[in-house]
Formats: sequence, C-alpha cells, structure tokens
Amino acid sequence: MRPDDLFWQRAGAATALALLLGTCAIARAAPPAPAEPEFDADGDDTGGAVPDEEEPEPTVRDLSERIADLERRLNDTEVAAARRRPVVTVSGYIDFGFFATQGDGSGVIQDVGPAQSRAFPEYANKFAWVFLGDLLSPAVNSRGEPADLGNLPGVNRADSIRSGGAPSFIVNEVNLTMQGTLGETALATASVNYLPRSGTDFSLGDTFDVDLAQLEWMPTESRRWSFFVGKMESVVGIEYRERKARDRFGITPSLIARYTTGNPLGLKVRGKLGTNDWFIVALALTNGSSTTETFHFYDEVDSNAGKTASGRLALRAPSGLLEVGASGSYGPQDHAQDSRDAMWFVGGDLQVHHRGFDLKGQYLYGRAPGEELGRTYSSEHRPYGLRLRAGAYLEANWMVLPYLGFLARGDLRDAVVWLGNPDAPGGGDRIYITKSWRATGGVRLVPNEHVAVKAEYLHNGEYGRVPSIRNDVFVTSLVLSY
Amino acid sequence: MPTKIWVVSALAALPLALPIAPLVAAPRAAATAAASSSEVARLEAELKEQRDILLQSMQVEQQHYDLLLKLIQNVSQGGVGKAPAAGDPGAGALLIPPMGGGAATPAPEPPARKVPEKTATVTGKVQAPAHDDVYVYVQNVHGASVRGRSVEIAQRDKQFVPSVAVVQRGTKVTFPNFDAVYHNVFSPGPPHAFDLGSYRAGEAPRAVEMTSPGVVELYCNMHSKMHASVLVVPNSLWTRVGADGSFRIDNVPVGTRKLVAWSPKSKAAEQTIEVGPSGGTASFSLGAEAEHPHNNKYGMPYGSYKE
Repeated sequence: MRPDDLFWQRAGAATALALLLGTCAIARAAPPAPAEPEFDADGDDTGGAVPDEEEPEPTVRDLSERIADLERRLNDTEVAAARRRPVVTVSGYIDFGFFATQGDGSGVIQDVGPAQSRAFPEYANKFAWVFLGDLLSPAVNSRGEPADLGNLPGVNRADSIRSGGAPSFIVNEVNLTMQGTLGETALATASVNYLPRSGTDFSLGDTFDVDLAQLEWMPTESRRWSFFVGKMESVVGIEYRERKARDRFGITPSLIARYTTGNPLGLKVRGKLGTNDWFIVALALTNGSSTTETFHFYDEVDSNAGKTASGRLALRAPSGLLEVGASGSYGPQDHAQDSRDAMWFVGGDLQVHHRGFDLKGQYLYGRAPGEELGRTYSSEHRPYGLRLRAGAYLEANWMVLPYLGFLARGDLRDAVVWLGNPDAPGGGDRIYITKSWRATGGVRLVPNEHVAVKAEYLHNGEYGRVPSIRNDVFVTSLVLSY
Repeated sequence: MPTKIWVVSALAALPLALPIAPLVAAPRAAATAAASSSEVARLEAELKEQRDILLQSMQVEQQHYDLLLKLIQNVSQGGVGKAPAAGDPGAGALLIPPMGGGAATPAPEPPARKVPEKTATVTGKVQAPAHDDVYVYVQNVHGASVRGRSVEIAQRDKQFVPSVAVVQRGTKVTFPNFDAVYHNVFSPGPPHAFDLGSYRAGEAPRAVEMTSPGVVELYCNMHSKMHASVLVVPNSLWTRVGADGSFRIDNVPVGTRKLVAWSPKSKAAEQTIEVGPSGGTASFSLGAEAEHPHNNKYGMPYGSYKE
C-alpha cells in the first residue's frame, strides 16, 4: 500500500460530502466540468489529420535528431515515473498463530506450605507469597505474551491471553507502520499494534499499543549519525532489532528480551565510524529502562525526575561477518518516585553472519534494590527489586534453502524479582525465583516476500531447587506483510 | 415550522453523515486510485512504445551507417557510385539516394554528414587517488547500439559483484540474486530510472537494457550499503586506465573529440582535444569524492538501522 495524496483527496471528498449531506445542499446547478483533453501519446497535434501523401525519405540528420528527441523523452518519462513517490509509506503485517501448551499454560508455581517442605524455606517468613519459575517463559508470540499468567494470589494482572492451557488460534498482532520524510534528512516513524483479545463482562478485550513514535534526524552529509527523539528502540543488546514478528527469524523472544527490547521515551544518538562503519556507538537518555511494558518494570511516563542513561559500543568486522558489542544502562528504578536508588544492567553481545547462517548471542547482568527500609511508597509507584544473576541466550539461524530455514536457541535466566522489603515489619509482598533454561527448535518457511510461516517448540526447564514445571509450548505463526 | 424541522434534521444528520462520508467518498477515491493506476499504465505503455521506437530508429540508423561505410569503402576501392547489389541486405533499407548508376559515372557529392576518413590513437594520463577503477572514453562519437550483448552483476552477500561495470549502449545488464534474502535493485536515474522489484536466490534474474549513455547508480531498496555503478558508454572507444595512470584508445576518428575520465570514487572530468592523423593526447586529474548517501526507492532516507 503506497498512500500518497490519495488520503487528502479522500479526506477532502469526505468532508465535502458530509457538509453537503448535513446542509442538504444539492449541487445541481453546477455545470459539468469540461472534460480534460486526452493525452496524446504520440504527441501529434495535427488533430489526427494526416495528409494522405507520401512523406519524403528522412535523412540521417533527421533520424539523429529524432533519436535524440526520443532519448530525451524517454529519460523524461523515466524520471517522471521515478518521481511518482509517496509522501508517506504505510507498511505492516498480520501475525496469525496457533499455540498449544503443557499444563495450564503458566510458567510459575507457588512455593507454599510449612517452611520445611518448601523448596526455598529461607523465604518462607520473608515474603507473603513465593513463586517459582518464570512468568514469561511459556511465550506464544513475538510479543512475548505468555499463554497464561496463572491464578496467582495477591495480584490482579492483565492476563492478555489467559488460555488456561487450552490450545488456541490467535491473532497475535496487527501492525501498521507509517514512515514519512520531513525534508531530506529527517524520517518520522510510527508503529501501532492492534491486539485482538478476549473481552470480559461484555467489554472488548482488544487493545492497541504504540511501540514506535520517533523522529530520526540525520544532519551530517554522510548520514552516519542519527539523532532520535520520541518513543524509540532500545540501545541495550541486539535483540531489539528483531523484536517484531516481521523481522524475527523465529517466533518467540529470548528469556532476557524483557530487559532489552522495550521502547523507552527520550533521546538517542547513534553513529557509525571508521572505514565500513567498523565502530558503532549508540547513547540514549530515556524516562526509564529498556524493559518491556508487560513486565514488572518500565516507565512510559516517568515517575521520577532522574533519567536513565544507556549505551552500546560495538566493533564490526569490515565484511560484516562479525560484530561484538557491550552495552548497559543506569538510572533510577522504574516506578520509583525518587531517583535515589539505581537500576542498572550491563552485558555483551555477539553476532556472526555468513551467507545464510547467523549466530547471535547475548549476556546480561542487572540489579535493582527495590523498596528500601524507612521510606514510604505510593501504592501505585512501588519499585520491584531485581537480582539478575545471569541472563543469556545463543541462537543459530540457518536458511538451508532460500525458502526454508531452521532455528536453534538455548536460553538461561537466573533471576530473583520481588516486591516489598523482606526486612520490613511483616516482610515483603511477593518474590519470584527463577532458575530457568530453555531449548527452542524452529522452522521457517518463506514462500514469498509477503508471507512467512514459522513453527517453534519451546522446552522450558528448571534447575537448582526450583521444581520442574510442565510448561513446554508449541507455537506457529503466519506473518503476512504488506 | 417545517423549516425548523429541516434545520434540526440537517444538524442531526451531520454527525451521522460524517462517519459515512468516507464510505460514500470511497468509490470516488477508488476511482482516483484507478485513474492513478491507469495513468501509471499509460506511462508504462508510453515508455515501452518509446523504447520500441527508439530501438527501431537505432536499427535504421545502424543500417545507415553500414551503408555509408560501404559507400566509403567503395570510394577507397575505386567503386564510387556502385549501387548495392540486389541481394545486399542493406539494399532494402536504403534511405539515401544511390550515388550514381555505373563505374563510369563521375564521383558523386560526398554525403551531407561528415564522415571521418581516418582514425588515430589517443594516449594520455590520469591522476587519481586510486587507479583500480578509472576509465576513459570518447563521448562525442556516435556508436551503434550493441544488440544481444549481456553483462551480469550479481547480488551476493548483500553486495553487488562487481560493483563497477562499463558497458556499451544497448547492453543488457542482468542482476541475479544469490542471497537467501530478498533484494530490490533500483536506480533513481537519470540516465535510467528503474525498479526491478524484489526477488531472491532461485528466482529468475531481472535485467535492464542500458540504452542511454551515462552513469547508472544501482542500489538495493532493502540494504542501504549495496551500491554499484554502471558506466554506459556511447561507443566502443573506451579503456580502463592502467595502474600507472596511463591510457590508450585506438581507432578514434580524427577531429575534435571530447574525452571523459570517470571513476566511481571521483567526479568525472572532461577534456576536448583535437585528434589529428598522428593522434592526440589528453591528461586528467581526478579528485577524490566522498560517497554521498542515497535515498531508498521512495525517495526517503534509509534510517540508521537499515544496513
């Protein structure tokens, strides 16, 4: 779809028609507009009257002039055709899928009972509720939505899919991406996702989210420096580049995507330096961290005065075969109303690309203290604590044939997330203890450039003292791009 | 009173009319879109027609040159005024009057167009930051458009291979894609504006016939770093500059000739020289030129992440 001024024509026509209907005006007096003259492809202005007599033989000079004229007209036509460019481009995709999960579709269980019988007795008297596993591990789409969040006590969450373990078809996302140029050096991008979901109590469950609303300005002549403002992609790690269903080789995000693929609001600069852009630098100042919105963190609109600084430095081999990067972020805790305590992440990433083979890996480590003793917190602005001891994945994508590819990925996440202070009187509210690994195998079929059919099997496993949870996932996705 | 009812009804209808207006307007918009499509179709048809005419004219012109060449050969062999034989393929395309009826006939007037009688060699030197891809060609000698000649520029590992090519006018350039990912070759023009659309490895390669002289810049709409340059020369009088910067072009018709030195990494330089029977010389100095960023086929910047 390439809307140009058609939109304005349509809007103008609609407004005019509405006014006409509203005022009951009848446009009967207006005489019909004179028909535009038909374009004469031959450029013949003789009105079709061709003298019926034999023309003299053309000379070489005549022919040369005619050729020159034709070449000039041909060029003009080609350039005119090339200049028929839209002001705004609209693209997007429909992501339709099917999933089936083990168990009830949720990735967590509660650690309950007498302290002696618990997997983690040390938390029995520290938190009101202790949960084991990973809330987001049974992901069923590229958004990372879990099949079910489970019926956890003490909280009323927006469980967008809440399958209860039933296999289901689902429209994961309908995306519309609009791009427009503002002059030669600026590009405005907006991306909106529509999410058809089940309603409750006669209300629609459908939602939408704006995941990109940014202006990219490339002021330098080389355009190797870009300045962004708005809601934009993260600079932490590399997975944000393929967070969307259309761009992702497989379907589901890694176990650490929740920390790196969010879209914070703020400012960003990205530059490429050296021959063949061998050095890449990206720096951002944003409202909050680069965590995803559907997790315990993330501030769309900031709740504190401090801002989060994040950045990534990367080295790239001239051939593009290898890229190694280091990234991190530092800023006030998300959801906190003051800027006193920091939430930070640090990590490294690696990419290897050769022909149809890609290897991608990332490691992440992070901390957030959560609620401190002796302070009061608004019930709507309680910061979660985080101890991400290790989060990593390694993924291999291989297009065996132009239309057929395979995926293999290994994930690890060792983290503790909690709400409330365990040392406060009465202890903390809740804690999630995760020691998860995941093995994913997938296949990708690309019949043509507008269609991708993908399937994945996710085996979610637990280690350490976390008992095994049956939450494997089989998921498919049909991505129709336009 | 009825007037009031009408006014109130009209005002009440306005909010209803607004949402349905786009629906009512849709056919008109669709008609506009259809008109736009038909306009594009008409332009394409016109383009094809012009190409066909151009090709036909070129063929006729080629036949003219062949005929003139034969006449010149006849002059040099003492066969002045000898008409083409009946079986001569050029005879059917004779558009200028035959020059006499027999061997005894006096020599006719020379043709109106100045035909070079002699050729010579042009030599020279090009100073350039690097001599790996520097070419020199003669611009103002009208050569025949080559037919049936083809050159391949592959898309491999997200690059055009080769990234520089020199072809004579009329050459067909084919762009096979050997990558698993889609590429979309396009050129914003001039001299050739085209968009070959998206295809990948295994699909039939698409091609463009380079009919107009000039530098054709090639890009991929999906990968901003893919770039190649095709120099379309008007004749066969071109050469690649040696490692020491020297060049030599043989068979250049004597007379005033415009030579062009070109490199994809430099701004082209022109020089007009007089080529005498003993030849001619030219020297150029090419300055380095930074590669300018380009837009995608919609005329928009690619953005930082589109590489």
